[in-house]
Amino acid sequence: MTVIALLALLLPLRRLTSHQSSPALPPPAQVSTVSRKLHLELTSTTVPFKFQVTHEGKPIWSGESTAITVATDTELRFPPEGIDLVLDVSWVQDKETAVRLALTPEDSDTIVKTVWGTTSASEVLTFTQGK
Amino acid sequence: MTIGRRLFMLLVCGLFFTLPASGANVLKVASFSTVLTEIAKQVGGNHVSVAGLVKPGQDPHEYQPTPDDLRQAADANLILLSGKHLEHYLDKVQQATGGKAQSLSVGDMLPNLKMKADPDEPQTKAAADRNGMIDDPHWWNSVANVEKATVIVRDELIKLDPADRADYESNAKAYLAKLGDLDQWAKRKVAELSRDKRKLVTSHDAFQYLAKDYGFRVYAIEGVSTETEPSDRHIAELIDEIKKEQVKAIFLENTLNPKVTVEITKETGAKIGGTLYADGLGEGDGSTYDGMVRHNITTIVDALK
Repeated sequence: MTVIALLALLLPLRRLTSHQSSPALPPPAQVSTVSRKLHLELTSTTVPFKFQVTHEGKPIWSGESTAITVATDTELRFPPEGIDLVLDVSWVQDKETAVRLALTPEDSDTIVKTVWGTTSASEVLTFTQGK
Repeated sequence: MTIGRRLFMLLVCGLFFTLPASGANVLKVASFSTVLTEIAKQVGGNHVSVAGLVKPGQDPHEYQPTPDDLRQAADANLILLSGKHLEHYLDKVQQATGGKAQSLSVGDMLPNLKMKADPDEPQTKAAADRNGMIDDPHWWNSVANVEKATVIVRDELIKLDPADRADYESNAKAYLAKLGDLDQWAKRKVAELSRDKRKLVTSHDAFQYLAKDYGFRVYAIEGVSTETEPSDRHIAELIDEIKKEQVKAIFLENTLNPKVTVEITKETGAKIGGTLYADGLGEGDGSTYDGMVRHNITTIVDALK
């Protein structure tokens, strides 16, 4: 009887001990240094178009498209303060055009920003989670 | 008439029509802000004569008008004031002018940020509201505010001299286009810096407007004005904050003594990121508004990267 009672106590005790010995969560300041997988999708109402997306001064995605929508996956640091992406787009046609950049962090909601231009558009877009 | 005489007459006529409206037709503007001096010159062109009474590099918090400054203000058609309680000598200006000259407190017509008044400083304390808050006078550190100020100055010049409206409008349009380019450049330059590194430690609290525009958080060593020394308690709290936030660099200002800032770098391990133009135009890079903003933004971004 005593042995059974001791065994019954041992299991929760082991769980508690193993929980304590698991690695602690990094403090918030360290979380922001970890890169996150991001899905980027660019949609232009006029084609063809040339584009470049820059992050912290470095181009991370560029190209030329005849399709309305192009997409890519990348990994970037995404601190709680958000990230700035610089979007440069140009079109052959001289026509008022909307271009939408949608950013989806892994396991998170999509954040969408839209800019307008005629032959070109250049804008700093701020993506903050929850906004 | 000989060819020589004809040429002489043509030259005289040409001079008559191309000379600026000098003499009696020129509007006299007296400016108590280095940034407003530039705006008035750019927008007014050859229709105005601008006396910049606060000189580039001079600390506007500590400036006191000389008798000659007051004479020039009294003689002006338009007095440009920075506003937001910066001109604590305003009564002297009003006394000297006898209320004859049109005075325009440009900053008072711009969006306002509030900040805590320094209780040890009588002038800011007197201007504080019941919650101890004061208007932040450093509106020129936002390019968007300078764009608005340009429109205000343009409209005032047109009111005083409606005959030259077209020139004021065209000059203002050209200057506003330059300011628009400057703002775009600043946004792109700041975007090089990760948003979690936008922590700006400066000698005094002069960059709230810039911080709001470009997503920085400001930690100031001194308060809104440069006239009082920071307390030991405030310095100790700031040192803790700099260490906690792992701020890489802190910045000096062109019109202030760097002693306390240098002491803080020794305590925190942060480096001196450079010298900023906080209180208006200065010498060198900061002798124009465009140069001042480019210098400040480049210095901040490159040091904090």
